[in-house]
Amino acid sequence: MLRGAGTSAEGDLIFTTAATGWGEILTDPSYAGQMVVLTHPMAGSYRIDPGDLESSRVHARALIVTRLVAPPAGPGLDLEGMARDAGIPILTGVDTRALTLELRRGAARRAVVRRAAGGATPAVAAARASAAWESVDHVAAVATEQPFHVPPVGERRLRVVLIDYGVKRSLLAALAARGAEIVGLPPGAAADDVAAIRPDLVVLSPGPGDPARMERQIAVVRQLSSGAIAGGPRILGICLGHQLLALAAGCQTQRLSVGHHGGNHAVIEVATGRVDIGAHNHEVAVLARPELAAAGFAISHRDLNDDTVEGLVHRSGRIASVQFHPEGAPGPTDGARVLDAAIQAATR
Amino acid sequence: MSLPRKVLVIGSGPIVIGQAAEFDYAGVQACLALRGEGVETVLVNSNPATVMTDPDVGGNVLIGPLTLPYLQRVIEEQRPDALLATLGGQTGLNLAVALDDAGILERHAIRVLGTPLTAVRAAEDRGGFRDLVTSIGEPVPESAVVERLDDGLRFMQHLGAPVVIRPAFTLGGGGGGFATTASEARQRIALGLAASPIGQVLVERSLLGWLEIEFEVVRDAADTAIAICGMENLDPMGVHTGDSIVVAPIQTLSDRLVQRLRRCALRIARALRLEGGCNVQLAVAPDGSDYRVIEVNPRVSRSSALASKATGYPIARVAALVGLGRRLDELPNPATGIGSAAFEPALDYVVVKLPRWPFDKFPAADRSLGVQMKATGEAMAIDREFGSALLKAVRSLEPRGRGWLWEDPTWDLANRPPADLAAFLTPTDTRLWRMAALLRHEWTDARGLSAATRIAPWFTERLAELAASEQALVGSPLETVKRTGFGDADIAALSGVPPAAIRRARVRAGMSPAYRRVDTCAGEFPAQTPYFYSSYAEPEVTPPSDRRSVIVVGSGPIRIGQGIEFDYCSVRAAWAIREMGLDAVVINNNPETVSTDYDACSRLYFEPLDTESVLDVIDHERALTGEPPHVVLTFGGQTAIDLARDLAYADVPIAGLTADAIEVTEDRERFAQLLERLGIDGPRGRLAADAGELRTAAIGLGLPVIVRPSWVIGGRGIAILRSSSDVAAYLATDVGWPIRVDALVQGIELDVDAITDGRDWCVPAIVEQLDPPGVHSGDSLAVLPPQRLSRELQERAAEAAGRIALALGIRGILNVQMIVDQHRVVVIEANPRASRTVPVVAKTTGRDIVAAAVRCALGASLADVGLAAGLLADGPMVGVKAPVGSLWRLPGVDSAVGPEMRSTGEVLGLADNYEVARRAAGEAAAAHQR
Repeated sequence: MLRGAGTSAEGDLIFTTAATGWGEILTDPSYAGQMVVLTHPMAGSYRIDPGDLESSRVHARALIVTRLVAPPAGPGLDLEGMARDAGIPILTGVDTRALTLELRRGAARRAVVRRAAGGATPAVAAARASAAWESVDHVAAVATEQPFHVPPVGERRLRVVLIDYGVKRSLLAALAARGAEIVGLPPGAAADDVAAIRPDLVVLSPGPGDPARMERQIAVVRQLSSGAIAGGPRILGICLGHQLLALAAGCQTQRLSVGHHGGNHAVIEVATGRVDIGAHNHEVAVLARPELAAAGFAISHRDLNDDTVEGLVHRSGRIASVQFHPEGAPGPTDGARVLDAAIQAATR
Repeated sequence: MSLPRKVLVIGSGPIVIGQAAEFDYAGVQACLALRGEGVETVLVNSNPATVMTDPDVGGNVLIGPLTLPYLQRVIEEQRPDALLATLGGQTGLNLAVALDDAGILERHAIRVLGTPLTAVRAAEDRGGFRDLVTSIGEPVPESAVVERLDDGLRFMQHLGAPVVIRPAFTLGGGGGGFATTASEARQRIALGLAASPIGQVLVERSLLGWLEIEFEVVRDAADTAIAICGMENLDPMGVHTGDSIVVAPIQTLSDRLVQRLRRCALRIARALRLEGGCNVQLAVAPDGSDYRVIEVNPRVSRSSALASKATGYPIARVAALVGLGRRLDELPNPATGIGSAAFEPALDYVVVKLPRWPFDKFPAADRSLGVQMKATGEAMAIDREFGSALLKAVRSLEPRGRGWLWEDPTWDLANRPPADLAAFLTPTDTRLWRMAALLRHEWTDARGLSAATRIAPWFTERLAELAASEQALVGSPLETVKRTGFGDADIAALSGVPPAAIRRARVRAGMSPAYRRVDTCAGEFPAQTPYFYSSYAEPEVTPPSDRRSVIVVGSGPIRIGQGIEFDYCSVRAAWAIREMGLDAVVINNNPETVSTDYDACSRLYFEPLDTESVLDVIDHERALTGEPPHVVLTFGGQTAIDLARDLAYADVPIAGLTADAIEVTEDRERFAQLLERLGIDGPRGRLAADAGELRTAAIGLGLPVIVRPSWVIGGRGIAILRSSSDVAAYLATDVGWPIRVDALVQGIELDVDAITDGRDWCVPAIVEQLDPPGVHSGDSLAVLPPQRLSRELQERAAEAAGRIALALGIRGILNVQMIVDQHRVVVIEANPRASRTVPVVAKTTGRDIVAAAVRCALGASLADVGLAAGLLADGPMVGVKAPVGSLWRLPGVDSAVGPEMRSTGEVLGLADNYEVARRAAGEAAAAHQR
């Protein structure tokens, strides 16, 4: 059944194994261009606290669920209302496990959600004709257009420039809670724009889409990296930011056959053997190729399920990045020490 | 850390309320894991009805009393260098602490594997636990530890009512309770102080009505901590979690709150320096604004068994390996084989657990539920949605007429609403049915239910949806109704047709459930777990099997009269089948057990044990293997045998058994005729169809008489009438006419298990009851081989059993109960299945009689299975079985023994002579009596 806004949608199908956090998922800019399949069969069970939303609007194109449940009465938003207000459909009654198994086995990800007028053929044609996820500049659609400022919570410990490719509020809050005064810059920011603010730490934010197409940003990151290695502001890349760092260093990224979306993967920190369960939300991963070492990077974190590169550290010690989301939301925040470490290093 | 050489594993002893099959499951997983690492094990347990006490599982198995002196002796003889203390429940843990306190561990240089005992003490000692949790900034309920009544009362005055009293170091909350008045508190505190082995109770602010959440956590020595499963109790705080309806994953809380609670659970595991598994119980304010840490069990538990079955993640096995010093990230992923054991399962289904209470046997018992656990067992169901999982769980309880639609006629809800809704809905074993009935008759709605019960609205709204679906059921497409989760029997009842008609309609329409894999990862990775649940959803591709399958029908939730012994039988049967090169398929729904460990069989179906679900699995297996599967009903107790008639009706052949043979044994008239034909003495008796006939029969036969309805389990409805006032009292009960009235035969009661291949019979051993006839055999002391009977008489008894088995055309195993005196053998009844005595016989004789029986059922001869015909010679060991009850937990239950079984478990004393064995059995039983 087509619910929510009841509208049509098109985009890439991805599945998340998260059982909670629908408000966070819908408003996470990293889901731009994607239609989210929930493996957990019952969605909408609780009221969503507006304070838990990750941005000012819904970015996912559609939600595909087995069963949509109306939450009990009370304060907060309901999932269907959120989708309706955002103009996106919720497709219900779908056997999402069956769909997930198809996707895992390599089924086409480009899809449309629409009423079945005229049978499947025109829908399949529409899906084929839709823009490929990789070909769209999703970052431009979700990131800030203007610089913004986030004050630290409590005492200011450092100034952070965060280049926003589609940041989540939780990440900003997690940094601010650690004493960071944050200046957010739009994704088109140049290295000089960053330098002008004289940050202690540059954070390259998460965001949607395929990083390989972001030539301009890669060039900027290359400049920032050179600066960091030469003693300039340190860099912490997260998710898309991590991928951009690798690309800037001449390494490659590739879309995963099955993206990581959920809150149950373990990541091992190679240097310490420390294992954390992390929040994951990425379709693309950095390839573990010799170019990494050639560029001075070592793999700092690996996924224990499929060995995916989940973090990098530059031999200068001044650039670090993680593929997972230390801020959780939804999902565990076990990996938040990555933020502590980056801030500690930048304030030393 | 170097591997230990020899590890002592302490079991949990007999089944008592609060400590059931989950510790056999944990012990089996642990022993197999340790031995898989090349470590020798010494397993001590007094409970013979366990898989762990077989030498191919436990290694060096010592069946003996779980007492400090016995363990000390075992340690001196076996010289273990390590102890795994956290897998034997509270009993095992308390003994480990006692061994440490007595300096025995130190004296013998035994190191404790896994979670250190300091952590155990910190978690178990109420005051220490509170300090620990507070020290890491986590909130606990305001409370005080008291060792004197006055102090407790003073604190209650300070805190304000209501308060909850929790004695330290007791099982299943024994001795605890709520108090709202000073006099209640006085009574509760005094009871609690007496119940606690260290004379300590906790008086704390009551969080009645808060949500109850549990996390199962595993942590390794490298400080990797993972939350395997978060579970939510449908019943809010106030009902013991063992008596609560439990749902996984957590359904009603936001991600922010779930993560907050998860972080709290992991922090506690770290603060405890846990190395293994633990359970953290949390209470959450109804609006989600606040929470408290309630309790931590630094060991595997009933909840961890539930979490293991709910997720597919084998917590006990992993905990044992972590105890050896293995790291979670190094251990292979138990489900996918790819990646590591360090991950948190993702569920793409909903799990519902329902408790099974013994009140059907004890109608006079106080049925209210509180902080003291009363359930003897539980059933779990899995489906894609809560509603369908709940309905399946109800079917799994084997309600015997108490299905989803059941209403107690005394409620009279068809005619009038309850006078006081809140009083009507106080926590009892029937609350779920009461809520369903109120919705059905539209006396209230979800909001009303939640207001009266404080059950989270999300759950009552789902119940209301089910009620609405039920009302719209007639006329709805069958497919829709099946997707909602209604069983064929419920659909039939609502539509006024026989259940078989619903099945026929389904078969005609090609409508059958799909079987989904429990894969721990919500489909993200390919998994090999041979663990399935049914759902009306799209079929999932399961690779076809080229081996014929044999389905072992399990025994469902543990109840008095049908306990862990049938799980032992089911598991041994599955293993024997696997060894024959066939696929061993198990159907069961008890999450505590070894039989529902997917490692124990070729394919596990977690399903209700009713006609519908068993036939569905049979159909699915036929499709999978291309051949009709063999179906074995012999090892699942009465639950499995009860399916025979419907299976025969559906043309499903039963291995080694016919429906007619079953009926002969259950229809007491036909059985009497069979005995007459064979020239075997039966009891003098007759059938009584009403009160008048009963009185006439009693006069004709002479008192005392024993009365039994047909189709009984655990002696339900059986009574001995010694006087005319007994007759009157019996007639005042709800008698299921007709009943068989027999003269009570005086003599020695025997349990004889005969194995037959269809041509010859073999009796491996005879079990002699030491209590007089009339005491239910499950409640009687018993010995094997018999001590008071001549060999000649024993051979006559064995021959009677063997001849009955052959006459019934049985291949496999038959249990015969008889009474012998100096001259004659009187057969009382026969059960065409493995009985409670099987594990006792197996442990005492050292023979895998289950394997022998199942192989015979599948066509082997006695010679093939290494058994000689006739009564086998006595072995070197004497076994004395003693019953253990836990009815002290059930106020209102008369604890006098009689024909109605009252024990929950049993212990075995094993020695080379009777006196020593009897003493050991006595000691073993005494260790678990209060």
